[in-house]
Amino acid sequence: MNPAAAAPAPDARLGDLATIGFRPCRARGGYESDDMRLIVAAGWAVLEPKCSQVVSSPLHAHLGEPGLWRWLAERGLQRSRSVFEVPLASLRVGNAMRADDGGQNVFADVVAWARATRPGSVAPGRVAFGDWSPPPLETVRGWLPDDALTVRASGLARQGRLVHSRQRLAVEFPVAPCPDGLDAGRRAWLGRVLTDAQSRWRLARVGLVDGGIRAEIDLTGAPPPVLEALLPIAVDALRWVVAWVLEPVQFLVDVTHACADATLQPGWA
Amino acid sequence: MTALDTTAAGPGAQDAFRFIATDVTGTNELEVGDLQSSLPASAVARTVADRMSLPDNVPWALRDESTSVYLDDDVAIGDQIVPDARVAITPRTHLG
Repeated sequence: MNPAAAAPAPDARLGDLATIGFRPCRARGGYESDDMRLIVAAGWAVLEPKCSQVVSSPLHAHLGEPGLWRWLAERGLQRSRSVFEVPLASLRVGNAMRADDGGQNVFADVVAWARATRPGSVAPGRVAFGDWSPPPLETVRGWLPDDALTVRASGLARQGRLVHSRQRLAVEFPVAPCPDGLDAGRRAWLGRVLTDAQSRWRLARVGLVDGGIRAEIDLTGAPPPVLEALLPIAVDALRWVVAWVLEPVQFLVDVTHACADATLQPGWA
Repeated sequence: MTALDTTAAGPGAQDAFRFIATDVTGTNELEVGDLQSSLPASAVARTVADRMSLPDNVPWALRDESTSVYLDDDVAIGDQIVPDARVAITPRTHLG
């Protein structure tokens, strides 16, 4: 008897993990397949590659790429890893739809999505999903509250944008422009703030792109049954991150504000 | 590893929009130059009220001083006023 097949799934919403190649991993806890590890905890399924990639420029990593992969810093910048996190709540609706059709558990599709968008497998801006396309724009808009793309915090405000094209679905918030002449101290603090922001909250990426600081979620390639539940959760996560970073980032990039402490290099806890 | 590499930085990421806001008494005048033109007028009004330290338990609206027209809360401010316009921030009142 295959012991993996007999192992119960950690959450019914994930279905039978053995059928999609995951077996319990006693040494590390959680589950693993040939190429990925899976940890299930606190309402989230967290996938990560078994072979980590070295991220040379973490604050540019994954931005603009399809899927939910994010870079996380641990122990300062001494260690990093990429993760693909899915709220289990988003699987419930998808599984209910699938049950009506008699299809397989939707988590299998989520794992396939994670594999298709794994770091290094997709070049930014490249089409990777064959005939995948997002639902119609009006349908997607209907899944979000009217003011979902507006964030206010501490006398600051930002308007996000829904990116909806034939083969892309994402939400992006411009956080702040990043001046070329920022001194080393402020750059280091900015890196610390953005790294903290990305590591504290799930789903959203924050980093530097096109001369500015951007926060984003990218649901390109997401299995259709999970999209309706996943999009509002992801946008909520994004709004939290934007609200959290807005004031410190604005302070750091505004060079008209003198700050002696900003010239000091931040330490890593 | 560098915590932050800005060498790839190009043009700014925001479509900043400049306008001047005054309160109804004319006591406060504020030049705003960092908000996006795509922000709805309601979010801009609340942000301006924050910066002027106006009460946060009051619904605020913006009025274009050149036309005296109240801006539509749900429409992007850039679609309702021109750059460098002057607007007044006023409490939203309902006259019965």
